[in-house]
Amino acid sequence: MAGSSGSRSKGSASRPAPSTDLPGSSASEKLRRQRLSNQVLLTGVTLGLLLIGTSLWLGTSQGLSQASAGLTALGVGDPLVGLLVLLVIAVALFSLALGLKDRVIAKIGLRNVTRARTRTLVLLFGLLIGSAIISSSLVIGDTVDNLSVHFTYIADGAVDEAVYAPAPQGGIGGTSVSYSTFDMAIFSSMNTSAARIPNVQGLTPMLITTGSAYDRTQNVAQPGLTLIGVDAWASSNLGSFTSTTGASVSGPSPGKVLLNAAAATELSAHVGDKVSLSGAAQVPVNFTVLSLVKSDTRGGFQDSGMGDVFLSLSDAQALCGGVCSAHATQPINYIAVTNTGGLVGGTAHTNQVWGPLNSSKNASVLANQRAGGTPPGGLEVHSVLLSDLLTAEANAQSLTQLFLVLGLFSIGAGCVLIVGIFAMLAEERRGEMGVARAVGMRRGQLIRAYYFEGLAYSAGSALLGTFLGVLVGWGIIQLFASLFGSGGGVAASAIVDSFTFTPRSLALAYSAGFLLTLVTVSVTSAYVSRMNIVRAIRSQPELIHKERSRRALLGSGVLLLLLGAALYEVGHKSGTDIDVGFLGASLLILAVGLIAAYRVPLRWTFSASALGLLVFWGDLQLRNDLFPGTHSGTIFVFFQMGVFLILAAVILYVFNSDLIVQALTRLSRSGSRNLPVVRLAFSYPSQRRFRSAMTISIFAMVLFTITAIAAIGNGISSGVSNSIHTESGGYQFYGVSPTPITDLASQVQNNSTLRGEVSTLVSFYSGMGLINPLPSQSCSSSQACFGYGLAAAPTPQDGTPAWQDFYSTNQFSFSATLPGWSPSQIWQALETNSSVAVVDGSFQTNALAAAIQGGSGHAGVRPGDRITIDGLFGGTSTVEVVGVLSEQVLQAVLVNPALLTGTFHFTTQQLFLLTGAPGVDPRTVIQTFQTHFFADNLEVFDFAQILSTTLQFTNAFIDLLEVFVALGLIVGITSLGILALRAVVERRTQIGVIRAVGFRRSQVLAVFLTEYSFLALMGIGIGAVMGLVLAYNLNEAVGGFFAFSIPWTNLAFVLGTSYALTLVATGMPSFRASRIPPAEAIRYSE
Amino acid sequence: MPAPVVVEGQKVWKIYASEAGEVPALKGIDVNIRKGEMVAVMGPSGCGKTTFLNCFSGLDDISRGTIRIEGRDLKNLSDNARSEYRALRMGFVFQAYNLLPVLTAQENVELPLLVAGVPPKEARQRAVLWLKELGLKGRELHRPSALSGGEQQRVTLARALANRPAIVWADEPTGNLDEENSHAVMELLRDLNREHHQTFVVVTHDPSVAAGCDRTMRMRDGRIIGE
Repeated sequence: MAGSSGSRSKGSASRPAPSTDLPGSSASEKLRRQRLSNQVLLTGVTLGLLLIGTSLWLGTSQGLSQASAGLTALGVGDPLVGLLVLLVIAVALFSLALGLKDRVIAKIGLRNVTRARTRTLVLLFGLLIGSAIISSSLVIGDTVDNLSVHFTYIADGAVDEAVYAPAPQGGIGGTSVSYSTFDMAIFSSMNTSAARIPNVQGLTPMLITTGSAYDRTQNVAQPGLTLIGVDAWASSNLGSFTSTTGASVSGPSPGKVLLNAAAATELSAHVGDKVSLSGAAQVPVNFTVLSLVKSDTRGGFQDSGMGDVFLSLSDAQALCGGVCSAHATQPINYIAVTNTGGLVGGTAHTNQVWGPLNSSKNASVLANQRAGGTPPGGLEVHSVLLSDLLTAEANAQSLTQLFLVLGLFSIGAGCVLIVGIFAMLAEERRGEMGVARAVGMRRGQLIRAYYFEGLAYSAGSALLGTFLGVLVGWGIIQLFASLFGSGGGVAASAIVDSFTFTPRSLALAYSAGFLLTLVTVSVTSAYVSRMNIVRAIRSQPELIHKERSRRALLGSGVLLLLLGAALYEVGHKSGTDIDVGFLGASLLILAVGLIAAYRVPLRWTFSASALGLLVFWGDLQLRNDLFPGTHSGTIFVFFQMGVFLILAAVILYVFNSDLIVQALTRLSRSGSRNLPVVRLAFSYPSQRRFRSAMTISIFAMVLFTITAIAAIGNGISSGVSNSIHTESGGYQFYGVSPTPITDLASQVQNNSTLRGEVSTLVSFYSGMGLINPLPSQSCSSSQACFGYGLAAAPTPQDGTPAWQDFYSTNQFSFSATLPGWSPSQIWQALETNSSVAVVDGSFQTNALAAAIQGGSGHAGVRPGDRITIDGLFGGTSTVEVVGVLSEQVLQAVLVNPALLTGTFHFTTQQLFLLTGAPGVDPRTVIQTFQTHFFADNLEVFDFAQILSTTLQFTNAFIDLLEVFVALGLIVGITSLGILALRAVVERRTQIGVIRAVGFRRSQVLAVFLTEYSFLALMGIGIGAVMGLVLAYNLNEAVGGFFAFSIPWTNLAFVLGTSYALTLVATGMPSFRASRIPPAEAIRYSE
Repeated sequence: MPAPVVVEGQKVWKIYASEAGEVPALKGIDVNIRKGEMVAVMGPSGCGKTTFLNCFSGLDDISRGTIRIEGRDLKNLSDNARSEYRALRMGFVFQAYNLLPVLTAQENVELPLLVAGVPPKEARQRAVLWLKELGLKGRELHRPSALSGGEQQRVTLARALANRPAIVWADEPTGNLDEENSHAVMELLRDLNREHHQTFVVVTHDPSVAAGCDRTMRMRDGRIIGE
């Protein structure tokens, strides 16, 4: 006994010993072991958190420093990760201090964790969802970043910096020379001075142009190739080529070319093949294929996807001819600078070498000018690799953001699940909590006990969730590879090999998941710990103090009103923060309901608020009227929309569930045998409204995203399918050429082979101009001006055959015209009148549509507006817009041919539209024309092929997003599974009672399944309908860019699968419930 | 002429299996209860009273022996048949009331009627009538949490009797009630028994409850030790 009391605290020494066990007896040993295990558990959890936090912090810093020298140069790493990890460490320290101060409470909380292992496992599974979603989104981002970095290194190779001047765009077909040429003397001068710049390994002169190749051995032509003129010695700076068989290759040498893997594939080329190349000079020159080289960091340099041809600098200069040598005797247009430090380490010196390089460039340019040279303006030193790496990272972050926003609904559902789980735990332990309070435990201590329990769950679930997220990310990448691999020029193996995750992502996912779970648990604990002790002990429900509740509602309403009004005002005044304005309006609607609830019955006020939210978020016109003018928002608008739509629907359900249940019960009266089953099944959801609302919300949030993505994807696919008619204008192909083609139509007419393959062929004069949609302001004072293509179809002369006449053969449709003008009137005016113009679909007024369509949209232009055009080669004209086309493929303002050739001096034809002759294979048309006009670098595209590729990619991407958001279904299924498991325990006695009054086993099973089906179907229904509302709204917002339609098949599959999974999750607990012997069930007490 | 036997048990054994081994709760008991009888089953805690009620009412299976209710051998009835039989011919009153908390008093009483196939309208009328008869007029639409213990027990009684069962099984029907309410409930049971000639089997450890019954079976250690 002495030993027993001796082990207790001093304060208890005088009290009678609670146990008569002697030291070393089994009970005493058990108690000692239990105490020890609790201390170990408490210390373990806290130290574990400390260790995890510290190691992740260190790992993050190291990871970042290795990943990007540029970022670590900033010296701050990632502030968000740092903050979150610091918070985790702070929570750990706080918890340790709290636990040491109040060991008994910590012990109670932690002991609850090990109280029922199966339940702990279920809880951990339910709680880890948030961390898993965050982690998987970040892992996807890391992998895409890795993939982008991989291709950035391939595209830039060992070129850390480069000296070049972008060439002005010559027309719609572009130019065969992307960089302006300058004299080799500038390179020589820079090369001499660069030898003195630390960390510069060497400079390499290049001439980079675009051209066509014709493999005479294989009889295959391919335009759009990148022709890189570089001498063999460059390998000392840029590294050696590697042949496709793995051997090191030197070269290129005069008369011989190296083809990289992409070019070889396009040309079906082999080593030794005879190929003709044509560049800007449009004079074909014959070469021999020396080797086929890998598209690696040397052979993949600046590959646009069509392939690279490496040839000697002198050969490249010959192919370019006068276009390149106009201002330079030995023309080059690119100086590659390679730093010391290797491929990856070179960028570490970029910031140091840029200044000296720039000085060297300036001095060389000056010297060249003094020597009579004419170097181009805009010749600059560019930090190529570092800049591209940062762009790649930004792109990856955008994708991460997309996945995170989509995942937000699943994360939100996860949070609701956490609230639900803890509310259920509290309900389960209500009796014991009441007893604990009765024997003197304060409410704060009760909250702390829950806090410690939640701490252990949060720490464990965040850890599990983070690593589960890595697995999910891996799965998504595998899917990504199978959907996109090779289709977009990226091999599936490259995608799979790029799979990676950084310590930063793990730290971020763990910290965010842990804190999110802990905060949710803590708030819920504070809420559930409020109780009437007597009612808790008697397991009676809490009494609702109506007056107090109404006052609380009033207070909340006033707060929301003030906050909502402030946000509304900010959004209203701001031209950019539409998200804030919408949030303000939504809070105002909720506030009105809360305030009115002080005097008006809750059903009416809350239902009215919910309906108000549904109308506000469902009616685009109303929102536009409330926030007139140009506003821009972020993707979070859609998150807000989803949250408020679902909230509104759930509020409507909660305050009208009795009516819904009554209606459903009435419907089932025809078969009165089922009535007791139906009545009982619906009674629980209508009476346990909080629990039901949570389950419904979880399902609704997940199904909302799935449905919205499915509907949007379906709409985009339909839109793309429909766009073939809109975009093609009735033609089958379009052709572009970076070099002018003289009278292509006549050449075709005089060539029986070519003529036999097309039924229509129209040409356009094309050029570039500066478009000013606000003629009253000059471009120097207006930000609205932008460079854009100009095009004009020649006016048919007498004798021009109809198949060459654009004005009579085109079937382009207009999205808007001058009032009363028909398409034929518009085309006639364009043909004859120099003061009118037609703009393409990217000039539509919808800014959001423009953003979605890849940023090609411009400030709104309507028929009747006047725009001023400044031609690239001189000339100015103000024209009236008489029509806005639906198409966007031409990417041009269509003007009168006399205006383009006369005023703007664009007399060359580089844009063509063709239709194949009946029965001719489109591939044959493309190959015949590209081969015949390979010297002119004509590239022909098949509208249908573009459509097919676009559709394939769109569908694949939508599938990928659907799979990702469908992961949230796990939350929904888990929630119902937990609910069902809990219900079997909680209602065991009631099961016994209904069995006693005559319910059959099958009826008990039916009660449970009907109840869960009702909840799941309510959630599924709300989610699906609201998802469609979002898709419809989005379609309206972008001006009908995609064709809104309900994807019935897809939806039926998704909803059916969701429901089936629900039945699977709830089926087993329900079956177990039905098999409980009635006597055992009645006897049961938890 | 004596009333017919409605509950007949011969050498009834109920043995529970536990980690510590087999625990016999009923040890070969023989019972005969006649129609219209009000029988008390008395004994100390753990003597097997509730097991007796569960086994003889068909809520639980027996290990050995035979139980016949109105001539039917419970062993030969399937689970569904037993459920149907309970719905049509039996009523139950439990010590903890065991009302369904999500249903109103009226709906709780309607439930066995609906299970027995009574049309909804008639079930409602009968439920209202029974609640009125048991002094619960005006409390029909209250949920159990809004009723006192005595009121809840009366709702339980209404639920047990609404279907006019042949046998009513009551397990400590006054266990949670004060003396006054206990007395009132027993008076009510007695009146109903006289009025409707139903058989009542009341498990209790309260001598005053037993005193109100026609006869008392005393149990100890799983056996009936006397009447």
